[in-house]
Amino acid sequence: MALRWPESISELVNQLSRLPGIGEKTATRLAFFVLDQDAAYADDLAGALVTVKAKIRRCSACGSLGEEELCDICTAPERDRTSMCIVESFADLVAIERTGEFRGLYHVLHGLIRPLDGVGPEALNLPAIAQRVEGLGVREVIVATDPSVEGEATAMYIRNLLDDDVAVTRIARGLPMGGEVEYADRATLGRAISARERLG
Amino acid sequence: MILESLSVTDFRNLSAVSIAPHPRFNVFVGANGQGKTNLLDAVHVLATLRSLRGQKNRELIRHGEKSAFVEGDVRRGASLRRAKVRVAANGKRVWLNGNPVRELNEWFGGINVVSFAPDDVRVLRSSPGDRRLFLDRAIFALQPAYSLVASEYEQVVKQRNSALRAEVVDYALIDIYDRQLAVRGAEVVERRLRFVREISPRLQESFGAIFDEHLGLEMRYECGFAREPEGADLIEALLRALRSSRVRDEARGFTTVGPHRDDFVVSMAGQPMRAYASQGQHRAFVLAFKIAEIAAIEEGLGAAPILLLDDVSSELDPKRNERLFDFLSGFDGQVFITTTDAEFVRISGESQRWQVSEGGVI
Repeated sequence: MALRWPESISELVNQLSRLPGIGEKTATRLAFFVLDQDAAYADDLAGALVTVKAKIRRCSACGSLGEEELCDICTAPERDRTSMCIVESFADLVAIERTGEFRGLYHVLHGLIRPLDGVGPEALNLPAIAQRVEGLGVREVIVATDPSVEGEATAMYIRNLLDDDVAVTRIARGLPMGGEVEYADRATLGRAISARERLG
Repeated sequence: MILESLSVTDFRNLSAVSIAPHPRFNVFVGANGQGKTNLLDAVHVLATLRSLRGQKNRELIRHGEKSAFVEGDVRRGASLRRAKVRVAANGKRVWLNGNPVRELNEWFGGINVVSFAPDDVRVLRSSPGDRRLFLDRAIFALQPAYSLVASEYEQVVKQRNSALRAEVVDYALIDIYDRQLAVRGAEVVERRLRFVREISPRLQESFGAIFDEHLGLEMRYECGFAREPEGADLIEALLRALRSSRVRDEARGFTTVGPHRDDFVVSMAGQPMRAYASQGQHRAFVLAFKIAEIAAIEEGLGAAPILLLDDVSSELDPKRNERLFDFLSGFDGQVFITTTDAEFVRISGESQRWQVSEGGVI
């Protein structure tokens, strides 16, 4: 009869393999790594997981992540409030922030319009955009969605939500087709930001 | 262009196959259901990222596995590239010489294949969907970038169809999909028209050579949204057609107009072959089409494509079969042939025979 792991190990492997990009082999390796460490490491790891879930919330203005009602970017006085960059995810925001090319505010959609996966415009952080743009007096909106057909459709949808006197651009060049913003290198993403395209 | 090595893992019924193909003829022999066609399909996926039979990613993965791999060393003149494709349910990923490929244009054009399957003989009498697959496969081989625009077009059709079935239809969103479809759909039709235009003279020539008689063969693309598509503003025409079919599309829950509903017609002496041609003429047409396609690739790319012949001899009469092998002996590229009976394959020398059995190759 094949050897069976103790229940607690299988459970950890099972939980770890639910993480994106982690198959059962990697999950097993990680589980044994944790087992090899001091008990303090396991406590720290578990504590960090619980804390992040308890503390991190969506910024009530832009949808970004932080520990307060408003995120650090929304409260920073030096940010340019006349320009706004719309991104699919927090990871994309971080990637663009790292380029240092953009000093305005952000708006995080938490997805792209994909009716095929049951995600319509109403399921995203889209309706708030028009109000924010008007309230803040934003004059330029940069849509930084992926260069996929869904990224393009979402960008076009945002263009329609906004008045004609708001300039709406979309980052385009520099990003490979079928690529994802989160994984682009800095130089590529920096170029894409400076060579953004006007929509409609 | 030569495939110097081929490794296939968990692809349909092939668990782990690794071979060094012969630079000329590779004959896969085995009973039905052993995996011969899957080997050809693996080569097709490596070249075009699409299955020969238009199958979905999930259907390409061996039962119980999460992903399938196809890997090969491709020689083109002095350059040797290692190409690798991973097929998972949610998409394909590709590597060239070990590096992930982001720009798919870089990938396409690396390997060109021309395929010939038993069902092709019935293409003119089959469904419009089968005809589009037949036509598109030929265009992928000749215009690699076509695959990108065709995939994007299909993706938008799916999104639009889902949006049409929503409880409350968002017409602003449908408008956006109409615009996305118009731009990409127009390019799909333009590329199909260009292909038909370019293949026609060669097709007439090779058909005449097989049939020893000039019967005025004509291939015509039928575009459902533009009666005279050549030279028309296809973006505008498709946009108008999508808008006027919206009510119907919403009622049916899918997009009823566009290149995914188009067709082509082949006529002989002014009569549609679908209704009037004999079995022999249908076989001659498909053989002539493939020969024309190969010639177009050789001229356009300056290299012979890899040929994938799936059990074709079973569908050709002895005369046409002889004609096929006459052609093949004059063709100087690499050929993969499957057959249930090695007797059908009339090639002398320069070949390697592989026995395929229960998903393995000996």
